[in-house]
Amino acid sequence: MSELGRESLRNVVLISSAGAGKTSLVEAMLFAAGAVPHLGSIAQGTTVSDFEPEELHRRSSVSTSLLRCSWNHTTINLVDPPGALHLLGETVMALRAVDAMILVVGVSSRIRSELIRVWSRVRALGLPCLLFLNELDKDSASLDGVVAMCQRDLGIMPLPMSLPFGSGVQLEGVLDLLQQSVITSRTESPTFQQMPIPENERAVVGDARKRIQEAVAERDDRLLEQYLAAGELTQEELINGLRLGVQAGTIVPLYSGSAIKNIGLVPLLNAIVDFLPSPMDRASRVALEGLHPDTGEAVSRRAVQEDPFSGIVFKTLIDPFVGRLSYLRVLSGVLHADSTVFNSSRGSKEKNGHLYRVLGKKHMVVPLAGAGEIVAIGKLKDTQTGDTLCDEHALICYPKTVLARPVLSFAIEPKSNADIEKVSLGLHKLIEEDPTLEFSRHADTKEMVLSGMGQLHIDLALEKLRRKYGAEVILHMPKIPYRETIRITAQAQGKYKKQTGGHGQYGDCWLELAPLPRGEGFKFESKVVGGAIPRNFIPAVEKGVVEALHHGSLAGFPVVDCRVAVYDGS
Amino acid sequence: MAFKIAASMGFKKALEAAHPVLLEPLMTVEVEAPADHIGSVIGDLNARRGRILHVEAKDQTEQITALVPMAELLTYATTLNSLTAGRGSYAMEFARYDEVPRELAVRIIEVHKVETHAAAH
Repeated sequence: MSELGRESLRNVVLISSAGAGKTSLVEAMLFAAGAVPHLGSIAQGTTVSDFEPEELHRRSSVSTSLLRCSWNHTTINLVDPPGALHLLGETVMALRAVDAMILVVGVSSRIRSELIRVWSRVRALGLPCLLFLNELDKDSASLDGVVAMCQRDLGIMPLPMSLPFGSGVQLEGVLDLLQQSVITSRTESPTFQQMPIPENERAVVGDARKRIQEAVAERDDRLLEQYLAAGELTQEELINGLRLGVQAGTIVPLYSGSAIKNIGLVPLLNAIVDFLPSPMDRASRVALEGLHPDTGEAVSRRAVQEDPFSGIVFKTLIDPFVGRLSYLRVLSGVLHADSTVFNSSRGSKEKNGHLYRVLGKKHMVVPLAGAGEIVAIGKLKDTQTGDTLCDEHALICYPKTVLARPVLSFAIEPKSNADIEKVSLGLHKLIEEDPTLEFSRHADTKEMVLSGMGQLHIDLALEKLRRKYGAEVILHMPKIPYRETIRITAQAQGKYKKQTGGHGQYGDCWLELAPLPRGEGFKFESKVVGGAIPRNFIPAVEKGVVEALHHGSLAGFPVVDCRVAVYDGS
Repeated sequence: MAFKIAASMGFKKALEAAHPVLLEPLMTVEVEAPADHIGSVIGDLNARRGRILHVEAKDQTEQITALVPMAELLTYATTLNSLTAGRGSYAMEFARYDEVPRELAVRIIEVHKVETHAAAH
């Protein structure tokens, strides 16, 4: 794979709300590009990217999949993260692996709030973007509607690049505005037919093409002059202008089609190759900057194989049988299988095992991976999602992605004693795969608490826990760690006498309890004067108080924020 | 040993005389919601014994900072979702402990006693 020129690689993530059709679109792209022999379907559970049991029965992706195809001599790595809001962490991490994105909008799913939230993150990264309107075969499909929606909800002005040919269930193909042709295709075969634009569609195509020309000309004074003089731009100027506009983020081309009908994929694949940036292009706009982990100095890398190796782990997969797989985006240099690398986020050396190229659930062993590539690494020990790996002689640590903190917590109780061990072992492994889960034992209530981003997130974690680690748990609302304190100062005597032959036991002390300000905890002091209580017995008094502190008088909650003084006794 | 037991007994006696009260954890909650849902979000936070500390407009969303008892937030994720048609989000962290209102404290103590009683059998 190192033979591949760097210019002929694209790393693209697909972003959408749940149910807009990312997974179907990926499937259709793989089919159209000839990477899979049949067009799989979500309804039948035959897509390349959804293969975990949790995804099959939900008919929805729950984890990021990695796919790969080739189009016009260019390798395209496709990253397909789940769309559900509760699994946003997966999507946010996937953004670290790519140079561009395709925003998928389904006619039926519209633009939902989760998409608006992912979008705000993507915008901050300045990732170049293509839009794809899916489900064009539905009657309610409207390009103008999508354009208006994108403007209102996402603040972008998409530029239509293809138009439907036929409508509703009669949709046969798309009008490719750039190539000025009709492209039709069928679900049985990946080949497509290209025909001249029919007479009755020419006016519409002419108008739409004019809009593209104008959008390109507006960005460049020289092109604008030429456009105004000649009334047209050449095909080459148009393509170059679009590429620059897309990569600068000023133009967002809108493609359309139907993934499950294999319609509209050809113009989209062309656009990925022609307009989206290669890893080199991207690095020339957004430098690969990090810090030296020891000195804190700013250091940077170039996205070339000649620079020292560096990369970011954006996903971790733990399989009870295969072990641990870390998905890595190589940012600079070359990573060789079975070598030693340095984890600069943790400050430890790592011995990496085999390298794999990933296609859905299939893994193919490769000897090395160069800058820009995405690979899975076997058998790393301490490396977690988000860590930087680098050459041990040229250290760099890239900034960590900040993930949202969990918002929903449940107390979990193992169903049987046999499950106790499995539960905590399994959950710790799940957390390594998914850093947006949290698991802890509460010090006050002694409950095991599992926290996640929402109900679906917790349900999924427990489903995986059952399937992968065979542990069953019951969920409860977590107990609230109440505490007790006092309002006023009070004094009392404690007297203990036991004289049943031999040495008698006798203790007598006077205590004073006084409230302390909130958050001060507990203080103990001795104000005994004149040796009413021998000095060496004072620690015993304190111990007795501390023990009693654990169980308050109201409902047995720990007592806090009070000062206890022993002042007399005998 | 004798002093330890005596101290324990003394502490318990003094505690009962010192007007014991129940404390509950309060969380600082930061809610982000679209401006047109802000009224229902604030209303709901008030109903949850929350104290609104701060409201700030950011683009088209508003950010509300409030102090809310943890006990009222157990299923807040679901509520906020339905209040804002999925557009709201929130983050929270522990702020401090504060006194539980008297009537509520009585109920909590009652429930807790039943639970500990049940657990002992």
